[in-house]
Amino acid sequence: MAHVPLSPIGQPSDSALDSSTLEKNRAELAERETVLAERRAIVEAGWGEKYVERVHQKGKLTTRERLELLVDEDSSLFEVGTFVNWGRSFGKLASPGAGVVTTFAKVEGRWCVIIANDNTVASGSWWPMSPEKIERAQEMALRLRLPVIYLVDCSGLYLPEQSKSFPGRTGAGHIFKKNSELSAGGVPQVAGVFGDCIAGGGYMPIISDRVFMTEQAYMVIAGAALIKGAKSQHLSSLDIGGPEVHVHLSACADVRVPDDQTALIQIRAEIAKLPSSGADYYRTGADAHDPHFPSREIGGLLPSDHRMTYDVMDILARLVDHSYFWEVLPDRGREMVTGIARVGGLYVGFVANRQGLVDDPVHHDQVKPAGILYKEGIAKVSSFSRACNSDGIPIIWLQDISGFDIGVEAERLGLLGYGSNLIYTNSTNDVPMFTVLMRKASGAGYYAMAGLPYEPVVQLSTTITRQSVMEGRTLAIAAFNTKLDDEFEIATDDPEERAKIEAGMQATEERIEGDMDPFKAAAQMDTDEIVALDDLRPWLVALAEMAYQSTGYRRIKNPRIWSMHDIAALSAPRG
Amino acid sequence: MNQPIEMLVETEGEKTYLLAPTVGAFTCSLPKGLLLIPGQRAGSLTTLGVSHPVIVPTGCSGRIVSERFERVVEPVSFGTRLYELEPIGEGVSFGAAAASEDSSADLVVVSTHAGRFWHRPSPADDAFASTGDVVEDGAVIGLIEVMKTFTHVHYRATDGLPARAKILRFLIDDGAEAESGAPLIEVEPA
Amino acid sequence: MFHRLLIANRGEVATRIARACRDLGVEPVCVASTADMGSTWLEDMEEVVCVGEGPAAKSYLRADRVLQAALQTSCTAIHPGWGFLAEDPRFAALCIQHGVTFVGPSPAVISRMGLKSPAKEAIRGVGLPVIPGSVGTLDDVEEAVRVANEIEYPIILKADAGGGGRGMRKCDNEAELRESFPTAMAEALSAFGTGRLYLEKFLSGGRHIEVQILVDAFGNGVHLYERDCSVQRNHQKLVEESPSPVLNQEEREELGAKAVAAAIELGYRGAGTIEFLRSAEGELYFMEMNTRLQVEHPVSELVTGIDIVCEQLRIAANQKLSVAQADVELKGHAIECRINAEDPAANFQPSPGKLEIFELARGEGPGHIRIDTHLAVGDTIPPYYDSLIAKVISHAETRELAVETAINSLQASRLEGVKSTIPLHLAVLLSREFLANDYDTSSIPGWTPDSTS
Repeated sequence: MAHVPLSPIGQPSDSALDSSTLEKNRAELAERETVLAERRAIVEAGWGEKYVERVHQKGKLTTRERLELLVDEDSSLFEVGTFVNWGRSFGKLASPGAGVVTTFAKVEGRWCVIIANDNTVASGSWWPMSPEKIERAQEMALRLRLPVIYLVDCSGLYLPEQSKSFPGRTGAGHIFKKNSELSAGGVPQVAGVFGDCIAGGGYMPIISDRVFMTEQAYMVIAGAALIKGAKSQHLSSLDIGGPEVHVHLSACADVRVPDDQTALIQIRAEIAKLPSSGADYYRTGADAHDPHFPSREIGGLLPSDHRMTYDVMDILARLVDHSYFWEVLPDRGREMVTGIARVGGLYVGFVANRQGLVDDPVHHDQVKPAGILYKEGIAKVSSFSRACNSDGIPIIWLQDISGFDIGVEAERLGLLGYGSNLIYTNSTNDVPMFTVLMRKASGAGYYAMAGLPYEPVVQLSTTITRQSVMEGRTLAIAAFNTKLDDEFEIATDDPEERAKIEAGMQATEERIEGDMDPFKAAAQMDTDEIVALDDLRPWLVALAEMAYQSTGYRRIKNPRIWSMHDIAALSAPRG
Repeated sequence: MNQPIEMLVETEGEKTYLLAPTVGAFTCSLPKGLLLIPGQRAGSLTTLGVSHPVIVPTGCSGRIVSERFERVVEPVSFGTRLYELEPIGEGVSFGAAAASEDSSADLVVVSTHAGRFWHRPSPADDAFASTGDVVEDGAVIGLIEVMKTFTHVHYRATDGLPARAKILRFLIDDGAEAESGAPLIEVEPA
Repeated sequence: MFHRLLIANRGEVATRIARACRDLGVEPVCVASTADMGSTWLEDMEEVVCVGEGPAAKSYLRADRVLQAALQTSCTAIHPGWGFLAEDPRFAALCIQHGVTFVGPSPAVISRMGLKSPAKEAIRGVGLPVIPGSVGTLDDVEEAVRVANEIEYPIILKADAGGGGRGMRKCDNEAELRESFPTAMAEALSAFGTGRLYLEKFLSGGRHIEVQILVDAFGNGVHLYERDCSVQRNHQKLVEESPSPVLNQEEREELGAKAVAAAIELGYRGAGTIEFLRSAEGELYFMEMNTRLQVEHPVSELVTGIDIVCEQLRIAANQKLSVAQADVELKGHAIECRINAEDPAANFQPSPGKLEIFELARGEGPGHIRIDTHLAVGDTIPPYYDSLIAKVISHAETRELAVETAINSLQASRLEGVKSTIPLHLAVLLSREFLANDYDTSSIPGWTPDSTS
């Protein structure tokens, strides 16, 4: 039948776990999420009060203040790349958020990508990784065809580090290539220039469709400092490239406004002229609705300790509207969950890893650990991914995976081949895909579940994400294999040697544990953002709305004729 | 596959009927003449697109004397007769005497998997459940460690165990290895 | 119009819905628990689907089974009646998802009007008066104290997700409020799943006045005037009438117009009732909105001549409203008595059992009597559900004549095998207070707990 047969999933949290375990999970999570909140606050503070004051003294608003005025009252900011350059210093200086804020937010009811230089950090200049962060946000906008708003207040490259940000393939120049790609792709770009816009930075607004300049804004290929005779003629950069020049004489900008506030009002008015969101059209008569089981309970149900299992359906139930879900191919590949739900009223596909133990498909009355990919699971996910792509159903990958099955039998079954097909599928999908590293994100499993190398539009981590090629213990076993027996126990009777090997293995494990720190990944842009578990549901609703906002560029089949129905029809029990 | 659900039983003299335990589309039924034993899968019931295997309940067995439904997929209500069984023969029973309601002997929770059974969440914590505690279906009674992962063990009121049970004693030490089916806890109805 | 409709309910309302179905040429299908299989009201159904054992949680509340029953019997609509799943937005959404029309408003509207404080805010937003109190739910006891000081004691603490009179605590001063707050929160959490509370001025001695509205899918709405349900015990209605004797024609038209305008503004669709409290001083305040058919709907049907259940079905089938406000005229007065199987002399203890004699008199006059029941002589009332035996509704030219008609009918009726509330109803109808409109929701006219029949 052509209905999408959603049905109730999940159970109340006090049926899932006893109250002391719920509390313990919540407490362990709270510790980490407190750190997350603290660090986020540090980044948001830029270079601090002193620099905020400086901005105000010039009669300007800080970046965060501009965002508040720009964005709709009922919209939150969904930032990405907050922790780029976290823990990195350049001489004595830090570049919180790489000196730029990149965020999704609603402006006049339309989701936009906003790229705003942080003018409290070295006058908004570009550090190493600033271009990459900006380009990543532009890429997200291009993939989802979301309007981009640039709030420009940028003194160019942070020159002492120019060798790391100027010349490379992803260096600052690539930002303008992305500007061009966005324009060529029909994605609206609106720029507000609030202050400096120097050198290469100048191209960013020009390629945009509409440019607003405040009276303090100027755009120049080179500032007054590099112009011969500027000193004796008392010419400032504002004289050379201010609104007087560019709005009137060169037509490189469009509208001249007195101040920051006015610019923001005008930008909003510009966005209001764009087509409204298609999201409601694609809700197919349903309304957005909260999950039946509260999403704030996820923190109690998801253990930080990666060896502890949980029922993934209880987590899913708290992320989807009404806690309704249509599990597709439930009887095969039990280690994986694939299915469709509504998020914010919009259809989304989910791929998730079961935890705990599942029936071994090869031996009667035996079990195998879930959180791993076996042949059927891979095949199932592959088919599901292709069907979602064919149907235009955005896919959310919820990762908590240790890897693929290994061993003699696994190789003979051809898991390499099945896995390769899955990778091929994900690599060639054009439907929007979003990845959440819930907990374990390990090795080939991380790849198979559309990890960042497969270019999901957005990848989110949590504070308990463990992202690495393998678990520390596994790596230690591999490294010290010659010293271990069949059961991976240390094979020596000499107490001194044993102690040495133990210490060595321990050190290896600890190094990998350090690598798994989500903040390390976020600093390097190996993940897009770290989110608190309470924010996961709002994020997914936002992503779903974004995926359905723009029409005409991607396939969106009406649910009556989904390929998904073929899969269900062929796998329904009968006989 | 999804959790199996037990059919309901109705007896009329010598005849036993197995009834649908919910509303749904019944399929994969077994033909007349076959022997059914407790726990055996005897079809599939689908409600709102979700399918569950239906199984013969504990303590019930017999030979199918009813014809299959004409349709491969037959819509049924709660209580619809799915099978009529006749006794197999004298002296042949498959645990028919096992689940007697007022027998309080040997009400034992067994392990569903092989693994190491822990009484408490961690060495520092209190035990999940202790002797004398009353537990209901779904209550957490321990942790089982299999292949380096830990899964909560829940008390389930199936296979003859009561909906509310009082823990009489633990039959396995904290941290001891258990085989699949090994006795864990002795209970009585509460 | 739907060819087949599933009634997701039982008893008297199932009978009522089936009657409307037959009137419109729709085949009614009904669900039933094992305790209800074989019951009298099921004889009129085209098909019956058993959905589980007696207790409601194992049968009538099993949303998945109820909907599956509809799908299996080719029903293209579901009428949830009242109670059970009638105001469950999750169930409404499930029906819609599976292509079965839910007779009622959208899940979003049910949701919004189902929680007391969002409903209040919505109503406040469309300009109807609400009881002074907190805006939204209370963050903590300090906010409660602040609001209470503003609106003045006595106040009443209420559970946002509450209903049926539960989860409410009256507080006469700050000390009581501080003491009651945590307990009220805990009670609400355990009874309704959320500890959110809001606060209102406590108004006693008021009249419960509710307006029946009908809105179609195209934004056309009418009101069917009001009902007065001030004869209550523990917030359970005993006697209802239409129109309200305490409103004049101008007042009732204004109230009705406001109510239907509010419903349309809220995106309502279907039949609904907006409940108000009329204080002793004559001020009207919004209490809550019921997004379903109500038990006492017959009084409105008799005085306006409009079949509310048929209208529900038409609206659900996307037909335009067949009446305009100008077509709705009040004719006469109607009074309903809910005859329950309870013993008024024994503190209303439920009295389940078999109806040995069941003769409700109809022809005594002077007005006419309508009897809505699902039972016949010889039927047994099961213990799992409500104790309604029948609704006896009188309709006559004036209120006095309607009262007389009701009294004549009840006096000539015979009911044996279970205890019933007929003696109570007679005491009310015969009382001076009831005839003189000299009563309010705080006491039952003509009756005190130590009265005997």
